[in-house]
Amino acid sequence: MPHKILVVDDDADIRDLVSTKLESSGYEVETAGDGVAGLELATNNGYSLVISDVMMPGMSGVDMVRMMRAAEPPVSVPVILLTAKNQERDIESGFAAGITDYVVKPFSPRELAARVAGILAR
Amino acid sequence: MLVSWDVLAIAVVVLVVGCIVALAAVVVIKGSRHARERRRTVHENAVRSRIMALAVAEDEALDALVQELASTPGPLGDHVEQTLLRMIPEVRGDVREAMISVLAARGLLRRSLQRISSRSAIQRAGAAELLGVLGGSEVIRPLTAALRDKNLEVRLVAARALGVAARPEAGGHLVDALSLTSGIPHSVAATALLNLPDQDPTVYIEGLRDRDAGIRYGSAAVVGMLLMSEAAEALFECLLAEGGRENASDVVVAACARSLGRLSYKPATSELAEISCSSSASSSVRQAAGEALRAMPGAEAREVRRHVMERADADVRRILVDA
Repeated sequence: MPHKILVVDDDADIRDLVSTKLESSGYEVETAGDGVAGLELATNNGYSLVISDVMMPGMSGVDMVRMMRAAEPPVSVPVILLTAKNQERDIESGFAAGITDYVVKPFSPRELAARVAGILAR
Repeated sequence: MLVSWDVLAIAVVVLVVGCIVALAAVVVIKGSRHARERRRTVHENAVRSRIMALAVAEDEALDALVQELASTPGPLGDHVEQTLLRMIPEVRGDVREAMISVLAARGLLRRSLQRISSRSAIQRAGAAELLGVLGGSEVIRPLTAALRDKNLEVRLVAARALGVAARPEAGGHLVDALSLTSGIPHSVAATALLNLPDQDPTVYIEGLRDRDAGIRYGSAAVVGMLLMSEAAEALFECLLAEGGRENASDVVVAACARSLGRLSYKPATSELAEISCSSSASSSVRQAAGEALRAMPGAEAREVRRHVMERADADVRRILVDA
């Protein structure tokens, strides 16, 4: 069974690019266009990992992670945050909310896939 | 009256037939427009999937894909260019290089290099922005020339674009763009400078000695943000020399002080203490010196801060109280 990964990003270009890269690495990928939809999917489906953008309409990636961790029962899936350059505060609050790792944009899809593989191998 | 009824009947028939023809025309036009949009969506999705495939293609497959996207004609070709231009700022590494190769092969670099000399300022600004995204060594000369464009908007876009292109050789030109006469906001040129890799400290050391207060101020601020310790001595010299300059500026002194604090440049500690207590310095300069003192590590700096607390005004004491 391949690992199932959720990609949450309001930018369709990035969503598709990340999905394509991860699918080519053998993962099963589902996507959401905002934090609310991402939270809904993450809570109800058994993902091995979530990759989320920070700035999204409705609910930010950090808030989504916070709500995942606060859910009953908590959603403890590893989360990689995609954050813009110079957003140290997002990274800080992301770790406080319970993210596993972060990748700074502009990002390398190859590096992202390597980080995913590393986390899933733990 | 009888004739009138005939005319009326004919008119009604003509009207009905006209309506039917008009309705049919609308249906045909809308149908063909929908069909055209459906075809376009199908084609765009096909092209989009080829673009996304750039993220996973390797070697020969990548070359073939670049060629295919480079030779996509017409409106679909425009779609390729627009999608890639949206995506390039978000990615780095081999995917970014592949995307830029597609745009270069489509002639976008050549077209932008021509358009940056256009008579239209809008065209020149657009070309400058594209050149920044495309990057590479060949875009630096036209972009640095555009920093002196007669139109301020073009100069501003060129400064931003040099930051996006992120080539170290743009450093000296962007430091010059900090000049008070350039019209480019300091924040724009400084932000672009912060993006450049492997910067040469001598560019900033010269900037700190420049006659233009804007260049001195910007250089001082950026040196601190970059934590460029090689320029710390020149930064201190700039702070000491500023008072004796014809065009001495408080903002230069304040920027030097803050950056010396960020760099934890200990030889400046006594001077910063003097400035923070000086009645002849402006409030903003005293506070900047106080902030720098607060950042200084070590027992000696702690002792200096203790003395300053006894002499300085309330604003500086408030800054130092948590140190």
